[in-house]
Amino acid sequence: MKKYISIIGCSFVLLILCASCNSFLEEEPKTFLSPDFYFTSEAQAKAAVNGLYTFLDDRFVGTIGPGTQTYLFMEYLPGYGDRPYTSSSTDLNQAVNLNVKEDNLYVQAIWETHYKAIENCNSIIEGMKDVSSEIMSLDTKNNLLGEVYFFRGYNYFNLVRLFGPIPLKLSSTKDLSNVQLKLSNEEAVYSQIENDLLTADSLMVNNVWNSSEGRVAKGAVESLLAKVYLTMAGFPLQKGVPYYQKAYNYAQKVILSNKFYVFDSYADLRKISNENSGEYIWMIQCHSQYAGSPVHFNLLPYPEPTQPISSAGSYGGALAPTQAFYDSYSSSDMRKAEKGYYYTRHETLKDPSIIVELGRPYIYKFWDDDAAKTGNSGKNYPLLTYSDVLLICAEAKTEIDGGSTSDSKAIDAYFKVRNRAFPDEGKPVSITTDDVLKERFWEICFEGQTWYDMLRTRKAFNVTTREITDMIGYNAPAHPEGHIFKESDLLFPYPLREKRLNPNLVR
Amino acid sequence: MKKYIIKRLSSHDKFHQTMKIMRITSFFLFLNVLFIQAGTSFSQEAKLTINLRSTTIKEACRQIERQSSYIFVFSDNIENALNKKINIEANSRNIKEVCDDIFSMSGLSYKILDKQVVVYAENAKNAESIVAKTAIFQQAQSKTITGRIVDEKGDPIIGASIIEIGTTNGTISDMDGKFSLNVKDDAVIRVSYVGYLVQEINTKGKKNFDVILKESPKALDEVVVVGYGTITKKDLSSSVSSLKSDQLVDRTSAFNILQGMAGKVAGVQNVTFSGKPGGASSLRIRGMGSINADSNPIYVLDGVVGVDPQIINPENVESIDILKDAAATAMYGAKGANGVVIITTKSGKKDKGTVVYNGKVGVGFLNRKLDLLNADEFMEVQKRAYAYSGKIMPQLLTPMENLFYYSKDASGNYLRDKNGYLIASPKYDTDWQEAVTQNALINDHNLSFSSGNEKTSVYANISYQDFQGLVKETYSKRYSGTINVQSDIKKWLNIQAILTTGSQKQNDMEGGFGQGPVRNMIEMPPIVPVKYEDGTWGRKNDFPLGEPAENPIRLLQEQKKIGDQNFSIFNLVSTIKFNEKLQLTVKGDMQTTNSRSISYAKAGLLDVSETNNGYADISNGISQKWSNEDYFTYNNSFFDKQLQSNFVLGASWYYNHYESSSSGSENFFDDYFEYYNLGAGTTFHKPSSGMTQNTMNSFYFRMNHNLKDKYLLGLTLRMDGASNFGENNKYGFFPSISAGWRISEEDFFREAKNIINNLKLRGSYGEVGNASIPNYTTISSYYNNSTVFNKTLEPYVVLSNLGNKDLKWETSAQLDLGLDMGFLNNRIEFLIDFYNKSTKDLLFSKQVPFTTGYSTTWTNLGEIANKGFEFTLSSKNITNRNFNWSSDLVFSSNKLVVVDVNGETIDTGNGTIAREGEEWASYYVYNRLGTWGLNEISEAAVYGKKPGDLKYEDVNKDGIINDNDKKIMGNGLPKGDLTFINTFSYKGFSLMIDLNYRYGAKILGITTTMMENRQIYGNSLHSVLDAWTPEHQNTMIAAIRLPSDVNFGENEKDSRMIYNGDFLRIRNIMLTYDFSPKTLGKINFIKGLTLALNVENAHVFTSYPGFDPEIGFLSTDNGQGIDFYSYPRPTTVSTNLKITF
Repeated sequence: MKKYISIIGCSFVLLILCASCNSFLEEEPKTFLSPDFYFTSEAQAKAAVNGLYTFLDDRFVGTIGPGTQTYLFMEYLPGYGDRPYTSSSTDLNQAVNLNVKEDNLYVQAIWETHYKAIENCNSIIEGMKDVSSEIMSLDTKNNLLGEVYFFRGYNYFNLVRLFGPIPLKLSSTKDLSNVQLKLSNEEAVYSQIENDLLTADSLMVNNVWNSSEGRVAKGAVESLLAKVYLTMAGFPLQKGVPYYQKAYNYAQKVILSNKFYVFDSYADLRKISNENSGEYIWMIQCHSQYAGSPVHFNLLPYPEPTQPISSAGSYGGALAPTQAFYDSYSSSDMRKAEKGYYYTRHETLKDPSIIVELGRPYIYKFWDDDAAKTGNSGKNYPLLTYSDVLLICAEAKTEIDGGSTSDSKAIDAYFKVRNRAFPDEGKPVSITTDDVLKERFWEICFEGQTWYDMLRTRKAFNVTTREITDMIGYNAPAHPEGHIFKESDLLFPYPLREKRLNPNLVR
Repeated sequence: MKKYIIKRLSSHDKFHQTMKIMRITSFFLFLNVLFIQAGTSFSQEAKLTINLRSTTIKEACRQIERQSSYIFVFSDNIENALNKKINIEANSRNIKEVCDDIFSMSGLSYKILDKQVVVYAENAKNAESIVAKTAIFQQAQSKTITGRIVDEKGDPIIGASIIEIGTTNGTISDMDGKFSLNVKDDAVIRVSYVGYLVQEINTKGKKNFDVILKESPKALDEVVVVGYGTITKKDLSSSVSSLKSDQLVDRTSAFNILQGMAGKVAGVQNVTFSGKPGGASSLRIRGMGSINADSNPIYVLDGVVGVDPQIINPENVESIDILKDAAATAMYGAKGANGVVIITTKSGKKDKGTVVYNGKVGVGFLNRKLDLLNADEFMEVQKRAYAYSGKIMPQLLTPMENLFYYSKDASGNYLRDKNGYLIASPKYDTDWQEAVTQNALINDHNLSFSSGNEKTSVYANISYQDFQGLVKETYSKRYSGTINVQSDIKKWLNIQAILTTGSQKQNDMEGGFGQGPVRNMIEMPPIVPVKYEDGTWGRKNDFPLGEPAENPIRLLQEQKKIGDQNFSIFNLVSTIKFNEKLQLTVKGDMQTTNSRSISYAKAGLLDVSETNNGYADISNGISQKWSNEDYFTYNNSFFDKQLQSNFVLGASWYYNHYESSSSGSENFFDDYFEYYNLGAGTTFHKPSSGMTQNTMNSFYFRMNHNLKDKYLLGLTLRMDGASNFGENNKYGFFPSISAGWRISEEDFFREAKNIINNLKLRGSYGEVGNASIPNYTTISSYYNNSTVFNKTLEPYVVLSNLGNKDLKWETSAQLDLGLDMGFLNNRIEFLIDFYNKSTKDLLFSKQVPFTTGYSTTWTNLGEIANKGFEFTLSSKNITNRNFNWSSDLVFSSNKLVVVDVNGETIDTGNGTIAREGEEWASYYVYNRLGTWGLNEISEAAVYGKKPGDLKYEDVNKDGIINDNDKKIMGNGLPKGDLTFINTFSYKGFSLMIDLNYRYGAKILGITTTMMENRQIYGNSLHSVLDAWTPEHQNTMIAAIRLPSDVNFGENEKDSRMIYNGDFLRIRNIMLTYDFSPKTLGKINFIKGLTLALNVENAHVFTSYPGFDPEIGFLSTDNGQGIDFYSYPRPTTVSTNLKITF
């Protein structure tokens, strides 16, 4: 009997000891793919490129409370829009008060998002290198790679404008050695941006100019090239005329593609059916259910009108034009006309025959009729517009020609924008740089472009005199009284977190 | 029962005699069982058949006792010889022949006197006298007393010895605990039983006695469960603390064992994050052993490793043993780094059967309210804010009839003051704390059954708990059942099967910062009513500038955040005995948990469901775990029994699998459906699912040696392999060693032994691992989801984790030195331990520069050290027949210091940092000096500040207030924790008072400070009235301004938020009355009846102005001491009824 038990016992133990331990301890994740084994199909490659677009949405991410998204942070810096509903977020108020500190979480978030996007670009460029034509056609591969190079250039372009010298990282992270990167100067960064965008342009040579899907196409690449050259011509590199010429050339290429046009009316800007076409070269893609936009709600009046004009009316008050900026528009400007870019009264949600006065102007540019009814907005948000390209063309030419130009192409470009605002006004014979810059302030307002324009031109728009003026020394209407722009306001501090982790980040 | 009378006696032998009789008692227990089972008696000439191999002499004697009516009595000092192993084969032989066989070569001799076999040392000089002293004889006395001996629960004590003091006349209680004895008229009897306090009773004038024996806590022969076996306390050389069932259930709000354990064991901290029902709490054994990986100890339920402690009903727990030092926890290797809590549940008792009902009914209420502004004070604050800004309050310009009464003339026209403003006074003065909280009812009912015979025993329990929360609509409920069967199926095979199953459910509306009812309760303006006259709900932003927030009561009524869970644990342990020395345990267990969390809101809740017409989300999780453990146990003695050794060798396999899925929808056309019909919504949330699994494989070896009962040595080796480590580091090796010296057993100590009966010095060193990191961290991964292109979904991936293939075990090395002392026969017991636990290669999700493309990666980093000191003192101050007073003092102190983090400053979240040489998660904040005065305009301007703004210390004097000006100002971990429990009992009454004092922790009162500097957004603390004004400049609180006038955010974490977290809590007061069997008298089917009245959390003495100084945030270690709209803790009054049948 005992023998019997012993035999059972011992063989049992032998059995368990012999069980293969190594295979027992292997990990087999089923819910995610690993970059170590990727780029084995066209669908995988496309999914990786699609991922780059998701970083654009981060500007719709905020801190606690309504109306605290990153894109708003960028609108407070120029000082033409104010915040009717005071935020309790210290970090957001630093932008409102132009007093951005190194521990500001928005600054950190901008840095984080852009570098994460860049890392994905680097990783895809490396991963696609060895993809054979059996997996995808060369055209498909080039088009996808074109998008990737565009994205790397785009992200570095934003970073270098906001932070100045930054670490330039062009290969993917393999391990944690050498993570304390050195700063590259602005010259080197711009040169890389130029390279990336030119690469994208050449890869996309056979591609269409615009994409109804909302993907980056040749139109976006060359529009951005025009913008990059315009910026390189201005501050901080000040490369001057040759670069204005490049900006002009690329803007012209976009114009001559004849794929883009300005909409006839400002109401058309708001039509969902017009998204990804016409004036909209490149947009953040939204969806009422899967990728909502907070813009409509953020810009609603505050305090909420006694009779609601939109669903979810209590989330408004994040951004409105300052009265002074609103007043700077000519009274005959169609943008200022009710329900052009702005509105001061609106019909109530329940009864369109009842109109409520809002007591001050609010932004109507991004109003979403559907959202007003349903409480969900899926309206796209513009990143590059044709009117922007037209004004780049005009501005570049005025600079090339020494401050004013009578170049018909430049004037045509300028007039396409101007004419919509002032239909009764005739085409000018010549235009000055200041004319174009003023038009930029009025036309491309509250789209996340104004701050960049001010950084590259070091000019501000004086709302009282309605003249272009030096940025340094100007007290923008939304900033605290006496708080003028200083040199130190031009660049964001490096995020404190990054400085702690990388001591090389010293300007 | 048998009666024995000693023929001759000498007084100094009295004590030894008693001991001997007690020793015999255990044999009687078996005899009794046997007699009752067999129902036969044996003649003196009975023939014995015995066939035993490798058994002790003692056991052989025991076998004979079972077969015959002979009883063996042993003389002193032959214990070692009795433990000698022998082989015996006897077929139908008489007692003398068998005894000759047994005692030959044993060094023992025997003598048969009637039915007694007296055994003594062969070489004894004075054999006759020894035999005479040892044997027990009966003698006629003048009266017969009878009685019954029961324990505190009313269960009979079988085999208790009853001795007439001054004689060695005595007897032993029977199966029903009854006894009868002939004694002298004025005899005093002593009643004793192993593990119980001795009682002396004067029998003068009485003949019938009901004796209740109280358990003597922590006797030296108490068995401690150490994992993969047990050990007697005296043989323990590592640091292990034990708790018994009674100590776990005296706390009314103890929904689970964690809450029941609070403060009862030195070195074990119960970290409470919330006062919500069911609590959010966890245990920390000797500080925080890990910083990023899990710091929770591992819970072992009847051998099942890794059980969720929240589902264990305290009522079913027999004992809890907490393994604290590395020598004890090394047996659990990679899972033991944070300590091990071994839970042993109740099993059936081998008796006639017991039914116990134990129930509690109670009510909890809010005992501390925040000192908030009332309506008039709130308006005063508003007035000041508008005055500072030179603006007029809106209700003075436009009538706001819903909130204010306005002065009107007879014809109904508004009256105006001399400035032309309306004259308004608030309509409502709502006490929101009153409105949102409730008297929380507590129901806890348990019914247990226990029974057993010689071969099989059964324990079964069914229970129901329903705990309401202090905040309305919140609750925690649990139904559970357990069954525990043990059986000797074969002579060589014992099995134990335990099944625990049940479900629990809670509505957890804690919420934190967002739309949490607790936050809204505090911040709702008092001038807003719960509901207006027309039935609409009041909202925070009904008053201009108020923050948009929903009515908390509406939130509670119309929003649900339900978590529910069905769980079951099945455990089958089979023990195969090869022989008396070697056995194999094969254990298999399965744990399955189906959990669900539901988030639901009706349409129209501001900031919750206003825009989506109501929503419902359901997520499901299925967790499946199984494990297999197989281990050999070998016990033997060597060197002539001088060395007793125990060996364990085994292997384990663990498998965990988890799957989840979720779905949801919104835009319901009717609230009727709640979350029961997701298809009724018209907009569907994206479904999701997931899976994760991990495995672990271990081999272990342990040996414990006891040399001469004086020198103890233990050695443990364990090797663990875990799937979640990198290819190159799958296995880790964890050794430990411990030693003990029982000084009190040394010859030289003999003199002192009357006073110090136990003195043991212990020491241990060992290494234990930690593998509690998420799965798949060593694999680089993409996050994938879908994104939109022109309103169409497309898949995408983005990089999410940078795999670290070199990731390895976190190892903690612990040195422990301890001293156990017992005075006056353990009337006073004293335990002290010093430890130094240093954790290296910390598994840490380290921040990396964003330029890498990642935020954090898992890495092995640096070192932290927990150093601490703990002691336990138990004393029976007064013990006499009617009145007893005992005190227990438990003290622990621990300091967690960062030893090495590569010289970096690590952000540990919520304004806390870790830096070398400092304590972990230290508050790193600005120093608020006060406010800028009118005479400091220019100094203030340097910092962009104005008079009335907050003044922070510019530490580096660079004219900028930034991160470099922050200072370390304490942390949330207490330096020391003291529990002082006094128990007084008088006859059936017993009063327990449990005090808890904690010191050294600082509180980061984010709530309280926000309640002082966001005056316009909602209600404020009363202290805000102390704010800066030109007339009152010497203050810590900034001027009350409109938000538009606060130029620079003043919501920084600063020294004003740091509060002293010391407190003294009257944790528990319990008054119990035990009905004696005599009182119960004729209702003899009731064996015991206990009634108790309990006040829990009776009072807290603290200077902290928040709800409770014992607080935490986000249920993380780094959140300890951070008060962020925490759920208040109730004072609970309850009654308890326990009936035993």
